[in-house]
Amino acid sequence: MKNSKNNYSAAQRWYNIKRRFLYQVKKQKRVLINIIKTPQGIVGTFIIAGLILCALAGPWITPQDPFKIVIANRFAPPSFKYLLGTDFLGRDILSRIIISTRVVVPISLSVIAIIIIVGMTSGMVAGYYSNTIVEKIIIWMFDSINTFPGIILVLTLAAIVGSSSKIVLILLMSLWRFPGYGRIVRVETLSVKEEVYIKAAQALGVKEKGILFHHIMPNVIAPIIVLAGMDFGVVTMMLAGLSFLGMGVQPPACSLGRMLQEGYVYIHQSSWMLVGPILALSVVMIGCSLFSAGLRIALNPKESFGR
Amino acid sequence: MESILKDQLVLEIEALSVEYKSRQGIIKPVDNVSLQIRKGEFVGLVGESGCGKSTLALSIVNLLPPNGKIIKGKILLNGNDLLAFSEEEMARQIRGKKITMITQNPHTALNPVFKIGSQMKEILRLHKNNEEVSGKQRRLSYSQGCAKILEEMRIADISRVLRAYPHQLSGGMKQRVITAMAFFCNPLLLIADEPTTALDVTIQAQILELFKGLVKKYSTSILYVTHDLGVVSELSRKALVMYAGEIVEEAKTSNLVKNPKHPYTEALLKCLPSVSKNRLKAIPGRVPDLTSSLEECKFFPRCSYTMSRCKKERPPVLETEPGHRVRCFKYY
Amino acid sequence: MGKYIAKRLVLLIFTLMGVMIILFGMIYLIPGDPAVIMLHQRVNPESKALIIHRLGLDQPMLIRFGRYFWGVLHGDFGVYVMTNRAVLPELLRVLPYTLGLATFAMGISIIIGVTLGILAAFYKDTLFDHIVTVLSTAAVSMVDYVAALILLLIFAVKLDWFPSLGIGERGNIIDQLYHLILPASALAISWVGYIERLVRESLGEVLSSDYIKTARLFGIPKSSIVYKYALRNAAKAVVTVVGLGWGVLLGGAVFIEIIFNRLGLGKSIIQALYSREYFAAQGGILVIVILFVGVVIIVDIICAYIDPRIRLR
Repeated sequence: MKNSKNNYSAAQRWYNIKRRFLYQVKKQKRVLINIIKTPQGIVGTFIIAGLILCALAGPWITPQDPFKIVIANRFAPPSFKYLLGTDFLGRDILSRIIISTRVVVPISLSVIAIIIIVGMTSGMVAGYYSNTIVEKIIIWMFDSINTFPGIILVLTLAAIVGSSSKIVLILLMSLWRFPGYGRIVRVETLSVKEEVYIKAAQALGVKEKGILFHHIMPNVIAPIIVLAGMDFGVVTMMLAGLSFLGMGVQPPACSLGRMLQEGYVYIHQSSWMLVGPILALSVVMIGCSLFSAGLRIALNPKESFGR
Repeated sequence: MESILKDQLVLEIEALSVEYKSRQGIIKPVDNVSLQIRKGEFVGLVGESGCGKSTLALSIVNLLPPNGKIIKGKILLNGNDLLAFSEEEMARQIRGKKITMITQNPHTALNPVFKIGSQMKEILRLHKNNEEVSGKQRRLSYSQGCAKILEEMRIADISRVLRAYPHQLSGGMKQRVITAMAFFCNPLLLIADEPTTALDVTIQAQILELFKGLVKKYSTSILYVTHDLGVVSELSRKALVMYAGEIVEEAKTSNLVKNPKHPYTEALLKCLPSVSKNRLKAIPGRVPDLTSSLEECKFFPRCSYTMSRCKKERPPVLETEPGHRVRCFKYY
Repeated sequence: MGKYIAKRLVLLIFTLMGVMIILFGMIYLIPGDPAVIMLHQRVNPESKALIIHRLGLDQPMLIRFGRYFWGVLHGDFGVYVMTNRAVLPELLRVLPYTLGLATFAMGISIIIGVTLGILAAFYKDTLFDHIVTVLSTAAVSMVDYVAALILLLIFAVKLDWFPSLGIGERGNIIDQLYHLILPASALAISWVGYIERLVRESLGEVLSSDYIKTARLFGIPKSSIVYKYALRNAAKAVVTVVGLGWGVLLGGAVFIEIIFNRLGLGKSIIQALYSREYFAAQGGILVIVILFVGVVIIVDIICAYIDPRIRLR
């Protein structure tokens, strides 16, 4: 059943794709195991995994009801019942933190996914078609976005476009971050492009799309994976910052930034309102740093030699 | 008179051992090495990569990396014990003045952000404040001093070189500049650690000619470290063969080449490609793991002349003929 | 050298134009009449038409962009819609506070970060080095507003060592500096971490490079190695980070200014955004971007001076 398009039947093409995917997965498994070997990697992975678990398990693991208002118990310091104290409406802070991960983690993960995809594609295109108008335009786009200090860009866009919907938030933050990835990928592509196996593939008549995604991509992806690990934390921080200023996640949805803002407003009445979310954010950030450090060591064969 | 001068020992190394601490254990790149170099002598040190020759060179000037230590032995320069010198004294009196060393890679040996002229003047200024520098150079200004020595290195267009940055010069040119810097103070000993490995063959020939001329003019002793037997056989008077941290054979070069005694030297000579042979020969086996401290001859796994004794003890040095020493049980 | 500077300037002017196009275009990305968006619903229909005409909002987009660009070149950044006052003077009035904050923070981080970095590279692999490494990893994770909140909580509210709000009395430098300490420290913490790590890594790399080895072989003593040779080669990395960080600091100052209730460019921009004063917001952003771009040019020039390989290519 030959298909005139590719000389492969549909079933055969699907089989090829599946096989390639599994091969990549097998390669990554080795990397993952390497990560766990380093001390930073273990702690980092632990924290990130915990985070994702919280997001998934959400409402089932909160010790108290995160939305239950008990005015009589406002500003309570930590106790057995309320491990991190209560906020200005008597709600348990720890539960609110846990449930806010349900909102925050999907947003951050989506942003990371988008910037990897978009950044990598634009970087590869720019690098592969170097010295053309396309490349110049893409670089100009990267530079223009990069000249904005991040917060300014995000805040302005958020203020103008309105940040009520989550999708808008995701897109905004992706726009903010992706040029960094694009630039790195472009530089890597420029050097990978000159390798002999690329020339060989071109000589064999492989189509450009094939060259880009099958040959170049696996070789340029390493540095941005490390960056992505770190950026997960950075994006989460920015999201919290936006919410702090009132332009991020809106109530009644619970988010770390909003809790920070409430803590700030009531700073004189209770310091515990701030401690909880600050701890949570710091843990996320440290976890991401450690994870990406472990990732960097695992991906770099020179550094992980002899372990 | 001349013979007495010629017999004066410039460098004497006695039973030197060096240890490195590494993740895999303790490595001994230099194990009980002894050698002598006389004034004006051109000595070649041959060995493959990893046999410890660079470490030996570095330990003479005591510039081992932080995880390395000289644990045993003596190094005497004109009778003075170099190991008793402090770091300050080594830097100020010995390195660059009495003993200079040229390293392998001229492309990375010079600081890329300073011009050649300023780097050379820096060295000159450093060593000028000692009486060792000849009066003539003190009278000339620094640039003239630099220019003069560059001229001796047969460099044309000296002013361009002085004003240039390292990345603007070719490899051969850089190596000449470095050699010039090494000869500022007429050193007693020049250690050249594979100075031509990174350059192509024609430049290599020029540099070697240069060295020959310098030896004649300044009667500097040269310790030429290399893996290339061809160079050694052409230039040096005396040759030492090093394997896995030990000196396994030492002889006058002509004798070594005509009449190699150690199996390793023999095998090395057989490996040299020539027009008549149509197959390249290699020595089977691998360099031994330097962390092991078994009591056996280090060449034992690859030797074709082994006896039972070779596996049980390390062969001591034997002088089979005057001036020709070997470490092998064959001659016991 | 001059040619290099000129090249960089031209490139950056183009980028600046791109930035302005984005800024300007942002308003048009939103569905709806831009004029309505800018004026919101505050004004009644008759005055609205007047204001629209006065602000030139009824002209086609290209003309408006052209007029705006022309105005910028002449220092006219537009006016506040509500009060009809010029934007630029207001921005320039608060600019020094932001600059002071950013400079102070950067200054602290450079002094502490560079010193720690040099020491850590010198005493490599000792306990000191390991402690410093851990501390700077922790410091890097301290995003500015989190650090600000922590410092505010501990030092201003609980211990009451430092004032928590405001910029201090006008004209009283000491008081203003006193009010600067906490906010600047908050900004500086993560930068100390970055700078220390960068200095330690690049200095470590330089110290183990071949040309340093050659210098030692020629008898240059260990002490002058660090000062003269190593630092110059490592300075390039530091200067780059400092230059880029400056821009981030200017932006990050936003949170700090709001938390500590200080006057500053960031705060003015946020307030302008809240109250839909788009000219003011645009103007503020433009000022920050111009400053940032200016610093990038200066950084590039300094780097080219330090490393001759760049300018002679």
